[in-house]
Amino acid sequence: MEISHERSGDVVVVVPVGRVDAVTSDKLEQSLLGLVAQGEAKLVLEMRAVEYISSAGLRVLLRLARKQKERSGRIVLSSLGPAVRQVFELAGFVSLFEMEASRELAITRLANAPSP
Amino acid sequence: MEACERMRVPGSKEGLRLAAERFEAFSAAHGLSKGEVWPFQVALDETLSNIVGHGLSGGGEGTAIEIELRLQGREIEMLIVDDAPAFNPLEAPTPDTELPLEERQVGGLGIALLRKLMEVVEYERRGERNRLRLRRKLMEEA
Repeated sequence: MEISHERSGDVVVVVPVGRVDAVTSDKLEQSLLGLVAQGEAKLVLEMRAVEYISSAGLRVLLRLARKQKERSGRIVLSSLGPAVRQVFELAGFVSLFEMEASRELAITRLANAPSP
Repeated sequence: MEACERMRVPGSKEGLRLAAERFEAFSAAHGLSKGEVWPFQVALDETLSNIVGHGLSGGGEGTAIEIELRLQGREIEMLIVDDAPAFNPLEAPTPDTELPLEERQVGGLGIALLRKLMEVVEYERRGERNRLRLRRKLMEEA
C-alpha cells in the first residue's frame, strides 16, 4: 500500500492506494496518527483506490475517529468503492463516520466548518 | 472453469503478505476481477491474522499455514489448515455493531465479517490441526 497526502487550505487529504489489511494497516495508522499528533484537525480519507479493507483497517479507523473526537477534530471518508462500502455496512461502521461521495465534497464540508 | 492451487506460508506477518499476493496472482491468472474476489481476500486476511495473532503467538517460529484455493465455475473454496490451538470461529462471540463510537468493541469483528461474507464456513479439528473451509460465489459486480 502506498499513502500520499495533499493539502487543501486547512484540510489534509490522505490517499491510501491498495489493500488495507492486517499487513498494511500499521502503515496507515502511523500516517494518520502522525497527522493527528501534528494537530491537523480536518482530515479527509480518500478511499477511491482502496481495493478492500479488513477488520485490521476498521480498527485503525475506529481508533482514529476516537482520537479526532477527543481533540474536537474531524475526519470525513470520501469515495468509498463497493467493496469498502459493503464491509462498512456489514461491520455497522456507516453510522460512525462522516462520508461524502467525492474528495471535493469532503473538502468542502470541512473547509466550511469552524476550526476547533 | 476449474483450477486449484496449494501453498504453504509461514505463520507470520510475512506469511500474510505472501498469501495475499498469491491469491491476487491466482485470481488474475484466471481472469477474475478485483470486484469479484474481494470477499475472499478479506476472509483470508481475517483467518490468517487470527491464526498468527492469537493461535501461534509464542511458538510461531517455523510453523506453516497450508492454503488450498479451488475455483469451480463461479465459486471459490478456500481450505486453510494450521496447527495452532483449537479455535472454532463459528463459536466465537461477535461484537454488537450498533453501539456508538465510544463503546464500540473491535474484538471479534474480523470473525463476524468472515461469517457474513462467506456462504459456507465449516470448521473441523482433525488431530492437532484446525481445518477451516470457506466458500461462496464470486461477488456480483455493481
